[in-house]
Formats: sequence, structure tokens, C-alpha cells
Amino acid sequence: MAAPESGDGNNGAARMVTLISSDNTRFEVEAAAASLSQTLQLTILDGGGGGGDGIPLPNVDSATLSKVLEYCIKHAPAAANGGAPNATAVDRAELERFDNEFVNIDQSVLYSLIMAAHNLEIEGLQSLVAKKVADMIKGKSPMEIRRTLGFPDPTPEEQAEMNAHMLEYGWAYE
Amino acid sequence: MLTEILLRLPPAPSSLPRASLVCKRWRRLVAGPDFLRRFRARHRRNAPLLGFFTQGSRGICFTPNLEPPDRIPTAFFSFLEDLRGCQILCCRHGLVLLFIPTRLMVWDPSAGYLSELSVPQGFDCWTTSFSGTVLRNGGDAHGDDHFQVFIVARTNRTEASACVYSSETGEWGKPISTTCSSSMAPRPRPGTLVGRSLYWSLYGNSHGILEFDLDRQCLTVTSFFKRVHTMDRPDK
Repeated sequence: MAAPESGDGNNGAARMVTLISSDNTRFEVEAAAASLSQTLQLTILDGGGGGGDGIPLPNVDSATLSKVLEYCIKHAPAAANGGAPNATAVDRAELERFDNEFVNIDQSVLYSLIMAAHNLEIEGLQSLVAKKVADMIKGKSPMEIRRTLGFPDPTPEEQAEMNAHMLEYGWAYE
Repeated sequence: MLTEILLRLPPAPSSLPRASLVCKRWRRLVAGPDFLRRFRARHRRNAPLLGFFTQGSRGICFTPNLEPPDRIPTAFFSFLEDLRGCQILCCRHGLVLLFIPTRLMVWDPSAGYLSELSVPQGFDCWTTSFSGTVLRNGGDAHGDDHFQVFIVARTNRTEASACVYSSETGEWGKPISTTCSSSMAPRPRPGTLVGRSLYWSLYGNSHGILEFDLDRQCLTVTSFFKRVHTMDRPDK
């Protein structure tokens, strides 16, 4: 069976592209998965990233890129179906389970993912990590939010502003 | 990216006040009109019931429904008590239509804005047999900040009329009239939206229903031969 040269098709070998992390690790991945990144999509459509070339990603280290690609590979089939309107409930539940586990990670990894999802413009991943951070801070007091996100303690000036604001919206802190 | 995170906070009343206290940057972001518009649009479909307004002898009063810290104090809407003779004509799509003798107000409690409208000419003398409804353009879930106000009234001895205000044009349209027996008139009670029509009850010596078809922009009266029982005024 002759595989088409640039086949994204269902039979034969899918087209592969190479991505190079900031610490020079090469990742070979299906073009369909890498194309979840809006930033990479055009380069890939133009035929880039194939053969010996590879697309350098100077802002993403290998640990983060490996994690990002794990997401892309899992979500590529559904994305190829246009958001998978025909996906079964089982497929959707499986993706949801994957997503929940995927963001069950160390905060430092989560922050690297936030930056990578933003730089690579991967919409689904951006939304997933944003939701994770929102869940981490929901229901918390402003001070607890600061501590959760590792902000330094407020300066006396900031504290004074907070106190003034609390007078107006005191009910929201009961 | 911070915007994307804060947009995903739950639509609880305490969410944004708390976030705005974290630091200056967050405060500026969540106070921005663009952010607030997106936050409202995102959560409109699953917005919690914050409480309800009641009309008493001392004016309109807010009763909160949620538990602390999401319990909005009654005093938060205390300005309503200062509006003498104010009546609620309708609450729909997150908007409140108020009638304060001789003028109308559309109030969006979650956005905090209040727009004042004059009662259109021809309707102003009939404000005791008068009703109105407000609809957000695009409805509940996908609506924008624009709205339409519909008022209906008896405008002379033989006719009832409707007039439509659009916040997009900022103007009232031409009155639309229909024949209506002098024995009944609308009263200041909310209209009911069914499909693409608005309905108001007509009261008096006889009863009926006034229908405004939103698509055809026409008004119809249906009279009842017998008096009907209504929730509003149970007849013996």
C-alpha cells in the first residue's frame, strides 16, 4: 500500500513534523496534533517542520513541550472532527477524564503550561489551564489567593487600599 | 491570560470583589467594562438567583436569596427606596423595567446601569391603565447590552396602543393601535413572553388578553365572554 506523501488521511502513515525545544530536544509528532497550535498551523500548512528541518520553539523547554504534545496528541482526533460533534458520550467522558488528570500537576509545571499554551495559541489547552487556576482560587479570600499563587505579602500601601475596599464590599468577605 | 483565568471564576456575587482585592492589576482588570461584559455574557446561562425585589408601601425592597459570603445586603440597592412612587413593571433577561411617575427606567442590577426613558407622547396621560415589558436583545443566554421596551396602554376611548423603544436607536417607534372595548384596560403588571409574542391581561368590567406579535409588530385584543380566574385578582 502506497502511503501518500503528505497524507493526513486515515490510511497509511500520517505526516510527521519535528519540533525543537529551547534546550534542543527534538520531538517528532503528527502534523495534525501540532496543528492544534495556531502559531504552528501556518508553518505546517506551508510544508515546514518536515524532513531534517524542524521548527524551533525558543520559548518552550523540553519538559513543557512534552506535556503540551501529550495534550495535543490526545485532542487531535476530536479536533479533526470539528470539535467532534459526532463523538460518543464515552469519548467525551474519556477526554474529560484525561483533562482532569492532565492538570493535576505541580504549580510550577502548570505555570510553564500556561505560558506555552499562550505562546503556541492552543485554544483548548489555554481554556483548560485557565479553568484550573480559577478553580484553585475560587472561594478563597484575597490573602489566600495571594498565598496560593505565591504573591509576596502586600505592602502597607496595598494593605490600606484593601482595607478601604473591604469597607465597601465587606459582605463579600463574611 | 489573566483575563481568561478570572473569566472562569464562578458567577457568585463574592467572586469579583474578592479578586479585585488581590492586587492593583487584578482590580483594574475586573473593574473594566470589557471584562465585566464578557463575564456577564459567559455566565448568563448559569447565573445564580441572587434574590428578589418586592413592592411594599415603602417602595421596592431587595431580599437576598444566597448564603454569605454571596448574600448581597438589602442596603446594596437602597437607592430604590428613594424613588418615590416607583413601580416594577417587569423583570426579564436580567433587566428591570421601572415606572416612576411620568418616566420609565431600565435597570441592569448586575451591570449597575440605569437608563431613563420618557414615556412616549399619547401614552403619558394614561399611566393608570398602562403596562410594559423589557426584553434583552438576543434573550437570556446570548444577549448583548441592548434592549427593547414595550409599553401598552389605552390611548383613547376605543383603542389600546403599543409603542416599542429600542436602545440601539435610542428612540420610540410609531404607536401601533387596535380596537379595544372601553370596559377593559391593561394594569401595571408584567407581560408574559410566549414564543415570539408578548401578552398582557386586560381588566375592568370585562376581561381579555392583549397580544403583541414581535415579528409582525401588530397588536390584537382577545375578549373573554366569561370572567376568568387569575392569580392576580382571584374572583369569587
